[in-house]
Amino acid sequence: MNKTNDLELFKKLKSGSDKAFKEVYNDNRTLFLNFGRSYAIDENDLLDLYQDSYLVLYENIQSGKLKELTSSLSTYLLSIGKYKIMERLRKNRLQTNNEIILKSLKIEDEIKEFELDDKSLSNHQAQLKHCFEKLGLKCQTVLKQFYYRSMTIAEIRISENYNSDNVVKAQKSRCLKQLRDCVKTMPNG
Amino acid sequence: MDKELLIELYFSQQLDDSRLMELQDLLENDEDFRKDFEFQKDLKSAILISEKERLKKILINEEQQIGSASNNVKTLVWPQFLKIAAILVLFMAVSWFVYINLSSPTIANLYADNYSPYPNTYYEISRGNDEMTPERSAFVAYETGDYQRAIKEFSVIQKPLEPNYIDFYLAQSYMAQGNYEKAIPYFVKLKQSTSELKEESLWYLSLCYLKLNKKDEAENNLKTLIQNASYKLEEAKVLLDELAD
Repeated sequence: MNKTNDLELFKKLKSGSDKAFKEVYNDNRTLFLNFGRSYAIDENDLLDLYQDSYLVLYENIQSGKLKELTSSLSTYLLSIGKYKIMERLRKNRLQTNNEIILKSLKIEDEIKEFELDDKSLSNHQAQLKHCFEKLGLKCQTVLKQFYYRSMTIAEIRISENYNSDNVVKAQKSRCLKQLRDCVKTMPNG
Repeated sequence: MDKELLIELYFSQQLDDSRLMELQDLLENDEDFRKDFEFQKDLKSAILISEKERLKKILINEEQQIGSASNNVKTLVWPQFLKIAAILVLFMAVSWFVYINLSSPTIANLYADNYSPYPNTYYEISRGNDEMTPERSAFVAYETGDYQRAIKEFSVIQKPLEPNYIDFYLAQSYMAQGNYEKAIPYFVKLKQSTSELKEESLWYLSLCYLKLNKKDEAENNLKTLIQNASYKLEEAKVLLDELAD
């Protein structure tokens, strides 16, 4: 994958394009699975690891944690994948010295920073998730851009073609109110 | 400072040190602000998981399409495929019988079948820094197959006492150039260390010895690799069997 193509794909992924999301997934699938097959990992687990690694990459592009491409997209993916494979091997207890190996991984700290927050949602968070998914498209878009893609009010105004920052703030405020009202109707809400 | 703006700066990751202190101050002293802030943090977690589930569904759907696409190919060409397959199997059986009786895998064949350069799984994350450091330059050279340059760049990087990934990729670069004698010492150091590339080093070390016709050394390292059972397990077993012939 050449550099120009990678940069274009990076931008498209950043823009939240579902088409680019699928394209980059398909483009890197064979490479990742071939790499992963060198390790003693079950084929189904490997596919799962690929999807998890890909989601980490994608979400870090979206959140702005990954600000620019200094290497190829494939390299980033393999780096994340390698870490996850080592974690899985440790879990499978195939190596007694896995603890040492994981601790010495240069990229461990950087990958951990990129890890999705997989811990289970609190009751309040689960209610918010349920209510968020019931919101209309306009609210979901604005809230996703603010909280998930870490966009500023001005960036949201430009992206969604609002007339002013105050209009964006008002929209966001209305959406948050809808959420609070929804949560209040829930048990222990 | 406007409280709304502080929150906006927080969620868009633009909070500098002084603004961060202001935020912390408000969180400690303004109960309503703290509750509102916690609400928005919870919302962020909720959206993250919601989006993750949505994206995961897209990927599962992609996998189903990949699965059904390969099934369709089989269905369409199946009858014709059967005929061709039958002829091919017969031909291959005859060829294999002839081959197995007239020759055995050469060292060169075994090496070629098993060797490919280890991909770059290391990268330098520069947080907005465009500087071309020696490490970044080395990996760019490695990725583009410019092993001469990669060796030059990897060699000047200051290394810790314990062997690490720089040694590994330096050895990879030597190996890719066919300079196995130079690669071997690095792989030996790595296999004896607690490096995360210990298993991979065992594999490539075996291949170096194989190429240099040092069968015993190759076999010993393969046996250790098989014992550890995490990297190239099946390939190592097959290669060991083939060397035993």
